[in-house]
Amino acid sequence: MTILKNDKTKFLEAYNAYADAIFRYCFFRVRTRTEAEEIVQETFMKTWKYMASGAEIENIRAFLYRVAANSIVDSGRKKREESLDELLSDVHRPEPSYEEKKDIEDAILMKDIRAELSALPEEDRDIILLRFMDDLSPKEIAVALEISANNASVRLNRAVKRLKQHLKEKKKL
Amino acid sequence: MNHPFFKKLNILKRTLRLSPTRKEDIRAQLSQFIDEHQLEYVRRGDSHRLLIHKESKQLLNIKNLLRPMPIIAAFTILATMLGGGVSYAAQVALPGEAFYPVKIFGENLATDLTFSAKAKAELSAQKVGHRLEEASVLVAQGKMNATTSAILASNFEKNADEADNNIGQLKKSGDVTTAANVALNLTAFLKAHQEVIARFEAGSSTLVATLKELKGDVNERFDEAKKLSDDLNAEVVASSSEPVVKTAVEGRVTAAVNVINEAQKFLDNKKSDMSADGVAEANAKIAVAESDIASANEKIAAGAYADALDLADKAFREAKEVKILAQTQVLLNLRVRREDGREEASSTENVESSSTRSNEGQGEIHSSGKSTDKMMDTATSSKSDAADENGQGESKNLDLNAQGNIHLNAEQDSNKAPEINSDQNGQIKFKFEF
Repeated sequence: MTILKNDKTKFLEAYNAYADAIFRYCFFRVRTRTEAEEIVQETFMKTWKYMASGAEIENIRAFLYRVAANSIVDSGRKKREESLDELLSDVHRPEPSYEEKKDIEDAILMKDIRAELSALPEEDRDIILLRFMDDLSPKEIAVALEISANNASVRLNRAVKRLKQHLKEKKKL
Repeated sequence: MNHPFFKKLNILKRTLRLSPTRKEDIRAQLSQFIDEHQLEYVRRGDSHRLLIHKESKQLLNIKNLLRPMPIIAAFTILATMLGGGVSYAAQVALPGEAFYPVKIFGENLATDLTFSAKAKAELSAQKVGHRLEEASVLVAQGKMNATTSAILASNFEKNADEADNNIGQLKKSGDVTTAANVALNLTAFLKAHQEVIARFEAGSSTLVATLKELKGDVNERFDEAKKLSDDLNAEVVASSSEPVVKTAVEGRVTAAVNVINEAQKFLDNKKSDMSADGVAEANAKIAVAESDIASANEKIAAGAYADALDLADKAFREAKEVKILAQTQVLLNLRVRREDGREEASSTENVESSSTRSNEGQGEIHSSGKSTDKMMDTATSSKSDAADENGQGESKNLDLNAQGNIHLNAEQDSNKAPEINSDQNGQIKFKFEF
């Protein structure tokens, strides 16, 4: 989706379309649901400010991921940043307040996914989630991670290979 | 992909989302945010009336300074013009002027929109440099007083904090070499301006009290930045293989050589605006820096990389100090000449004249009219500081003409000017005797 500068309607359409995806992206990387929600809001506000400067964004989805990634880094800086290793560990994760059965089911799923991902190098986890959770194309991943498209493809292939290998070995056990 | 892992991912894709209530809450806040952050401009004939960002709620009429363009685009251009010397960005708006908060907003926006840790750190270090340059311009224009000094000190502290944080982030990201380079640049700015402030104070008793807070902040920040720089250098030397360390050290030497060349070029171009003693002392300091470079190269050849780094850094700071002191002297001398009224005619033309700048394809800022002032012909070059750090050379024009514009557009209050004495040739007698 290309959004022209100062196009409020289109921007809010983008919010409707991508807010949940950005939320998922953030929730995997921060400590609490509340924090993830705050970063979603911050991401869209920063993106708007960028557009209000006169910029046009060709691929708003990929751009939002990039802004979210940086906001997560900034958030971690304020709170003594933890590595993704620690975030993947349940030790540091505070218990959420489960208001719905769905929340509990989601939490179990996330725990399982994190457990599998913890076997992979940190850079692989990010790219696997971007590809298979967030459905970003390699080009979009390149924008989100601020790397070249070629680099994104190479890293993605390697990450998928390593993941498959890990899942295969685990199955044997 | 049929593995349970991917099935779980697919389930989460459908189920893990914002609650409807929360999604709507955020949407409502976003909508309000958008309304509050709309930017517009209205152009009327020759006079460009710019409606500033609603947050600042100011109306400015900037005549013949900026081309008609959305104000925020102008900020973006200004913000991206950071780098190298007493820059246009440092001069366009000063603490205490109506446009200053807008300029700061533009700088902060530029930082927000910079996403790589390296670029963020470099940008924030340059912002510290610009705050210090603003101090020099304020003194040169006779506008350094308790109010402007307080505004400056406050912004300086914020920018210095940001620079510290961003260098720290860069280090954490694993790019220790670049973090060390940025820290060096920061120490160079701070050290040079320590000297500038000391000379301002030596030349004016009024300024001692006025600059006290800023001076204290600069001294404190230099000590912290120097320690950080030294620690990062030690880490560079200790943490990598010899070829990598050697490359890093050679890069630092190259960066120092570039700054020396920059300083020499500035002196060659601007010596007519400096005192003979000033030029002589600057040349002597450059000679010391060159000697340090020669010693650094010997150390590299001997494999003494830590020593080589120290010498290269010393040369870098020395050369930066030469350039900044020389630029400040030129600034002050220009003001003295205008107070004499000798160049009033050509300075008036400066208001109308253009300073065309090409800024890497982002557009031009220029005003209407012709430039006939000789200062346009003597515009000097300065490299961007980011380029310095990478040991690459590329010149931009130092726009002295912009100084004339600002000087004449700004309100003059000579009653508040610090004492400036000059000799018959308009050279400052005591303030900047090197």
